[in-house]
Amino acid sequence: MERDAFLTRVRSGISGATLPPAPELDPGPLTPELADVDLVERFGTVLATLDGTLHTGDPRAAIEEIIAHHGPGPLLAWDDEHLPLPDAVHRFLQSGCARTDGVVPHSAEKRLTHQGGYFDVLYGLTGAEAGFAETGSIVVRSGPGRPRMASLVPLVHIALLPSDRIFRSPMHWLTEHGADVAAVANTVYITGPSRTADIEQRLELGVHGPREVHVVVIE
Amino acid sequence: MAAHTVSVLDATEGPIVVPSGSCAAMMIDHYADLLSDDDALAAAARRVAGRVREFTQFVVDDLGLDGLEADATGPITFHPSCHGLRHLGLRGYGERVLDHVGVERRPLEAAEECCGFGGLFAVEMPEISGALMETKIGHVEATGAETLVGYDMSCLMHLAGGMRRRGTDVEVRHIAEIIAGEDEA
Amino acid sequence: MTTSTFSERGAAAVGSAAAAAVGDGARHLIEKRAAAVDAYPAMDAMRDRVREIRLHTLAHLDAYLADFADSVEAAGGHVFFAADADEANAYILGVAGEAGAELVVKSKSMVTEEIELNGALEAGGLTIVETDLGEFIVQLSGDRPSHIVAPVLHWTKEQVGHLFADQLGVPYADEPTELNQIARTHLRRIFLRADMGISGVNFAAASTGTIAIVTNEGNGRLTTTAPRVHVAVMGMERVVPTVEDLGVMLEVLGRSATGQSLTTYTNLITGPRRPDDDDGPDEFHVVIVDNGRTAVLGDEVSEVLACIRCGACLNICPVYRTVGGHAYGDVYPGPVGSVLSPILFGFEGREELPYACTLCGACLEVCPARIDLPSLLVNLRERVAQEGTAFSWLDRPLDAYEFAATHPTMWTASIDGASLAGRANRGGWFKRLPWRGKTWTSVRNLPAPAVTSFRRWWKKHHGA
Repeated sequence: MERDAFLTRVRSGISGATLPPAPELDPGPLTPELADVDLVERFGTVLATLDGTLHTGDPRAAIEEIIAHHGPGPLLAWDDEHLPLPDAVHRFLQSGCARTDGVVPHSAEKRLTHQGGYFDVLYGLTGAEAGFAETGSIVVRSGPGRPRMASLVPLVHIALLPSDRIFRSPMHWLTEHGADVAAVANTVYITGPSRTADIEQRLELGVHGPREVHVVVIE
Repeated sequence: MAAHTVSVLDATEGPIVVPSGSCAAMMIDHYADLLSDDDALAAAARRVAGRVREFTQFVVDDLGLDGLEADATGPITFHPSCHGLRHLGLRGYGERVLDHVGVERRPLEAAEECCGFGGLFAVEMPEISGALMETKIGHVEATGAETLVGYDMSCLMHLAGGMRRRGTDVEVRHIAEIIAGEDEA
Repeated sequence: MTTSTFSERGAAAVGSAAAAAVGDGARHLIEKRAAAVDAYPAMDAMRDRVREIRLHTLAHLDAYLADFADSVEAAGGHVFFAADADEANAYILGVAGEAGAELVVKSKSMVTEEIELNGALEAGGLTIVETDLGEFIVQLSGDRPSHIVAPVLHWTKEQVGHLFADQLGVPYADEPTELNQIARTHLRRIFLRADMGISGVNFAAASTGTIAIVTNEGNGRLTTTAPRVHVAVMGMERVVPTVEDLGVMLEVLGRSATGQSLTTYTNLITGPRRPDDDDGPDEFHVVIVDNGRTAVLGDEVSEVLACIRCGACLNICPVYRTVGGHAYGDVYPGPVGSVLSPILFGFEGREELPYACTLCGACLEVCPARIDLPSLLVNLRERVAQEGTAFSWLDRPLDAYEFAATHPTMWTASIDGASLAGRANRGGWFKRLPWRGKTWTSVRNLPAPAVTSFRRWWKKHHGA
């Protein structure tokens, strides 16, 4: 249907409507009132309940520990300039991980061939724009040198989060940084590892996305 | 029927105490709408609505709990019927009355779940209504209480009928019977 | 829509294994919701904001939809306005044709089920694969979802194991961990070579053209990232004014649906892959679907369009928990479905849906948008009653009752008559009543009336 005809029809529906009185929107703050807490501590506690892990302390040691646990494997990573720890990618390569190219070609055929290489990516290394203490979430935004797939296709996702980027709740971040959302094609809140409870309400991790999420705090 | 009831009640004075939350809710929230075609009747309905009190509401808010006594011996359990609980906002009223008079009240699992009565629902969809009723009776049996107390006559009639059919040996009484005692006919 | 009625389907479902499984699952979700709400003191204030934002948007829906479409186009996306299912399906087939698409992946979406998109695409020669684990099981088996959030509440793990063994050629397994692995491997291959991804839209922000898609599994992200074309299909009422308003919806959605403070992946998409981006779809389309929503908007029950599809009213509904989702006969079950379906799809064959409710009010107590579902159901009942199309066999007994109740002499005579019956029955119980009374005594007894009526007792003890 033509846009104008469609919208005219909608307008006619509204004029016949008996909706409850339509309020003007309250201009007051949209942030929920929540108790004050230590942000890093709360973030770690909540993330743990979601089967994710928060690493404070030496970030390099945390990365070494993760690699030691899983062994070397294919790595999909953001470019160094977008990571708050300059030698993070280097640590993976040094440990024998092979880096997969994150730039997907535009042509249909090359795209499929390229993405075939994502089938068994073990590690994904990204930055994080923000963290939400209340929900244990991180915010990851796409862009040049920041492929979306890096936080999606690997079994193990490692996100580097500057400690001063932890906010109280999603709305505390959004009311300050709402404009950042639409400034890129994709903004995602990631709240722990991929999960499902579809079969008999039994929780299972890593159904399509990562099975492990490690948030490494960078001072 | 609403018109008749409103006319009769509007000619009286004082609180109108209703022993069923569902009936009270009907009179408070729906009579004026039902009678909106007739201005005089609608006004009478609003006057009547202002005077209607569900029984436990009357006891707690108007009378006060002082001086009430229990007329029950063995342990009881309490089912808060939906209309009193949610429609009239009387969460905790029945429990307060019962705990005040000092009967042994055993907690009922999923107490706030509907018993399946639902007015005409009980005869329109008897299988579904019966399934909800069986669930509720199962929870009542699990308490080991001798008496099921409620504050909505219709739900109680439905549950009592179900217990009779099932052979459940639990007495069913309206909360008014617990606090006031029973006058034999 | 089948030709049976709700009460027939519901009666048949009572006590079935499938309905029991739905009931257990729903109870589990109720507990999780309650825990999440307890842990979030702002819930009530946020529900007020949700209601305010939803009703405000609906009252200005045409303007917000126009803003939204402009914003999507400014971000490089395409917008199509579909008056009905056929228009939506034809447009999506056209997009697939132009892109040379053959393999299509889908993430869970109610509106695409409503417009029966899968059938239309398959008829157009496309292969379409549902990627939400539950929906994948539903598609593989030819079943229907029983819950809008958890589609296979009615399946056991053994049934899934046999299905996978039969359909995917894998060894039989019945541990959820193994079944999950099988699905991950199978679907991952499909994701990475799919040409087109189709998603629903949980919410859309008018001012930026951003859409939100929430999933726990990550299939929503793969669907909207891996294929070169992404088509998002949305019911036209999904829009809210701004990204901040959209954030308010997210505050209550996960908590109400599954007891999660946020769903695992909240995917916020504004347009296609940008010129220097590393990945993402090259094309982005939004299909805005009316398909009867204008009629709902103009109806007395228009408030139901404030629904955010969390499923909390299904879980809390005692009738839904007893009969399961299929008894409702349409895509949208439970209390919200009983309001929405008759207006969206027509009353015919759905006359009983407004009566599939005890008016217990539990749904209103949990609805994040505070939609007064019981009142809306009563409104629909009045309209069905005027047409006399459901339970008309009750009219004559009810007329008789009304006549007696409004005529004091008749009332006294009736009660005295009933007392006689009670006396004959020694204050006992009726086990079987004749005529219209039989549906009462089909499942329970009826207490015989008191031997002495209250009126007679009062006269005796208190004089006149």
